[in-house]
Amino acid sequence: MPAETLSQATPQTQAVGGKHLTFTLGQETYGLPVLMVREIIGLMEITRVPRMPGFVRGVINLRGKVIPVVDLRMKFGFERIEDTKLTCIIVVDLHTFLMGVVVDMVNEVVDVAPGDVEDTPTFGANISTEFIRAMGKVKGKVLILLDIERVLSAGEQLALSPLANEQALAAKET
Amino acid sequence: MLSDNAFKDFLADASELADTLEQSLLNLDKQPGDAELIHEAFRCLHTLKGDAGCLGLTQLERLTHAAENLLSPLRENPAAMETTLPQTLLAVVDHLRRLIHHLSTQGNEGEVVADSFITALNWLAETQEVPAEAEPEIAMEQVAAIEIEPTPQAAAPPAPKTPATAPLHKTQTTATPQHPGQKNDFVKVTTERLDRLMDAVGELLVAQAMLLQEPELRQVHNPRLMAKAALLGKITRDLQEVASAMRMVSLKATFQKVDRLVHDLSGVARIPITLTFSGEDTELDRNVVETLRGALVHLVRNAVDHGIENADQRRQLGKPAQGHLHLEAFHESGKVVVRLRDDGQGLNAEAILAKAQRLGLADENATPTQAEIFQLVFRPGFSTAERVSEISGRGVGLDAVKKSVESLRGRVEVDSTPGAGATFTIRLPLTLAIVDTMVFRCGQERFLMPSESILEVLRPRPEQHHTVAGKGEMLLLRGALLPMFRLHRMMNVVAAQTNPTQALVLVIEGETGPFGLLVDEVLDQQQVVIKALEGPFGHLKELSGGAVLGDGRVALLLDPASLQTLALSAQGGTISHAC
Repeated sequence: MPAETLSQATPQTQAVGGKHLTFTLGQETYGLPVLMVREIIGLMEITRVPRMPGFVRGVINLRGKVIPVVDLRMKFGFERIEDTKLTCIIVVDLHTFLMGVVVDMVNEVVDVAPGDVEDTPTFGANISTEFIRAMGKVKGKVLILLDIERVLSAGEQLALSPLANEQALAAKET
Repeated sequence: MLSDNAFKDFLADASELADTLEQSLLNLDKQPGDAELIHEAFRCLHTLKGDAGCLGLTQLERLTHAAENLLSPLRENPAAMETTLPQTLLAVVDHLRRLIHHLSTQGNEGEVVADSFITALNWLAETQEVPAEAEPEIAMEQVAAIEIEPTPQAAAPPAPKTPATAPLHKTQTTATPQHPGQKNDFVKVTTERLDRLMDAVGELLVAQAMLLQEPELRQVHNPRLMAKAALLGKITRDLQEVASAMRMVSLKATFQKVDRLVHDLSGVARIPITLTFSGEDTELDRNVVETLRGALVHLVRNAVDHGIENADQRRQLGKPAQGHLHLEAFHESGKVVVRLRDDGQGLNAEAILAKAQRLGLADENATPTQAEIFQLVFRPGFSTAERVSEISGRGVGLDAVKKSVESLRGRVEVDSTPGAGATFTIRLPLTLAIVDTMVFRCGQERFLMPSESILEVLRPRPEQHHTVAGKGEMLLLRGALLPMFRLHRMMNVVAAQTNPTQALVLVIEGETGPFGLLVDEVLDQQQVVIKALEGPFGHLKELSGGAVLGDGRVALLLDPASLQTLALSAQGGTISHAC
C-alpha cells in the first residue's frame, strides 16, 4: 500500500524526516537531526553552575569554548542513575552557541522516511510533549524525534524562578 | 560578477579611504590651502572613483567625480581654496559612509545619494557658489553628520536654511603628521582568523600546562627532560604574548572620530571648541575599542552640552573664547587610562545632591563627601539639564557610560573644580581576555575572583565573628564591622566548611563597600584566560565568565559587585556599614 495513506502526519511533520542520530534514555530511543550534531564526546568532568535548574548540569571546556551541558534524564524526570562507560555527551549546534547533551548511550544514524513520520499523539494534560517534534518509525521501533531547542528555552524560564533553586538544592542533598 | 571576498576587500578598502579622506579634510580645515593635504584628499577620491567604475557603482562614481571636480583646480592653485570647502567635502564623506554601509548590508547602492546633492556639488565646482535651493541639502549633512554611524537620510532632522559658515572648530594635535616615507608593512587579516589563532594559542597554553603538571612527569628526575619541558613552556608563553599583541589596536582611529564629533557638535551648539589630544598611539584590545568609543561619544556630548559655556558666558567669566577639550590616553599600572578634560563650568555639587534627593537617589539626611556626590551623576535617569537638547539631556548618557565601562571590567570616575571644568577618567584593563585571579575552593568546587578586588585574606578568630538578628553575620576587623556572606549558601555548594574560624574569609571590594566572603581554602594565584559562558547563563550576573585551569577543567569567575548584590538580596535588604 502507498505510504501516504498509512501515514497520519501533517505535511510539516513529514518534513521532519531525514537522517537522525539516535540515542537511548532508559528504555526509550530518541533522535536528533544529524545536521545539528557537531560531535560526540565521552563524559568528562562537568563544572557545576549554581542557580540553574537541576537538568543543567553545568559547563565544560570544549577546545577552548565554555559550553553548557544539560542532562535529558533529569529534564524528562527519569530517575537518576550513575554515569556508565557508555554515557556520553552529544554536542549540538544551537546557532548562537553549542550545547552538550548527556545521554545514556548513542546508537546509530538512521534515515527516517517522510512517510514514516507521524504526529505526536496527545497523552493528556499530565504529560508535556512540547519537546517532541514528531514520532518516527524505523525498523519496527518507535523513535522519538526531539526538538532540542525547546528543551533549553523552557529551561530559561525556569531558571528565573526561585523554586528552581530549592529543587536544585534538594536534588543535591539527596 | 565579483566574488564575495573581492567585494568585501573593496568595502574594507573603501572604508579606509573614507577615513583617510576625512582626516585630510579635518587637517585641511586647520591648515587651509595646504598642497599636500589637497593632494591626499584628491588621491582618495580618485582611487574610489576608479574602483567604483570597475564595479559599476554609479552613485559612488558620480559622487566621487563631483567631489574630485571641486578639488582638481586646487591642485595647481592650492591657495585658492575656499575655507568652507572642507566642510562641504566632509558631507561627501558622510554620503560615502552611508553608501558603503548600504552596500555591505544590502549589496546594492539603493537610493543613498540624492541627485540634488550631486547637482549642488557640480554647481559649486562651476560657480564657487551654493545655489539657494541646494543649501538645505548641505546644511542637513552637518546635522546628520553628528551621528557616528551612518543613518538613513529619512532620519536626519530638517535644518534651517543657513549657508555653511566659517568653521568654528579648530583642532591641534600633538601627534606628528604622517610622513610619506614612513610606510609600515601591513597585512590584512580577517578578525575571524585572528580569533581562531587566539583560541588555538589559548588551548596550547592549557594543553602545555596540563602536560607539565602531570604528576608522573613531575616524579621523573631527568634534568634534560625538565629543561625541554621548561623550553616548551617558555616558547608557549612567547607565542601567547605575540598573539595577544596582535589583538591590540591603537586609539588613533577612535581619537579621529572624536575629533570629527567635536567638530560637528561645536557647529551645532554654536560654541567654538578646541580639542587637543595626546597618547593616541596607546594601544588596547580590539574588542575594547568599540565600546570605549561609545563611552567617549557620550562623554564628549556631555561636555559640550553641560560643560562648556557659550562665548558670552565665557567672556564674562574671563575664560578664553574657545572652549577647550583635552583627550589623553596612557598606560598606568597595567591599565589603560583615557581621560577627557573640559574647561567648562564643572560640576555643581549642591545642584547634583538636590536633584538626587528629588529623584530619590540620595537620602535627605545623608551627608556624602564631594566624591560621592560626583558619583551620583552616573546613576540611571540622572540629569541636571533643564531641558532636553538635541545633543543630550535625556539623563541616559552617563549611566550608559558607566555600564559600558564596567562591562569591560573598567571604572569611570569624575573630578571637578566648580567653575573651572570637569575631568572624566576611564580606567580599563589592557585586555579583556586575561585576568589575574585568586583561585579558591568551596566544598569540592573551585571559583576565581580578580586579584585586584581582594583586599585581604584572613581566618577570623571566634571573638571577631558576630551575628545580627540571628541571620546576618559580621566580622569585627580593626574596629570596623564587615558584613560576611557565605559563598556555599549563595552557590548551593555542599560539603563546605561552615565554621568561619576553621575556614577563610576573603575581604572583597564591592560596589557599596567591602564585604567578607567565607570560603574553604585559597588554592592559587593565577593569570587565566577568561572565556564567556556560552548559553543560557546571561541572568547570572555574579558569573563574569569561565576559565580553563591547568587540569583542563572549567572554574567560574565571580564578579564582586554582582556577588554583593546577590548576597544582599538573598538576605532581603541592605546592611549598613558602621564606620
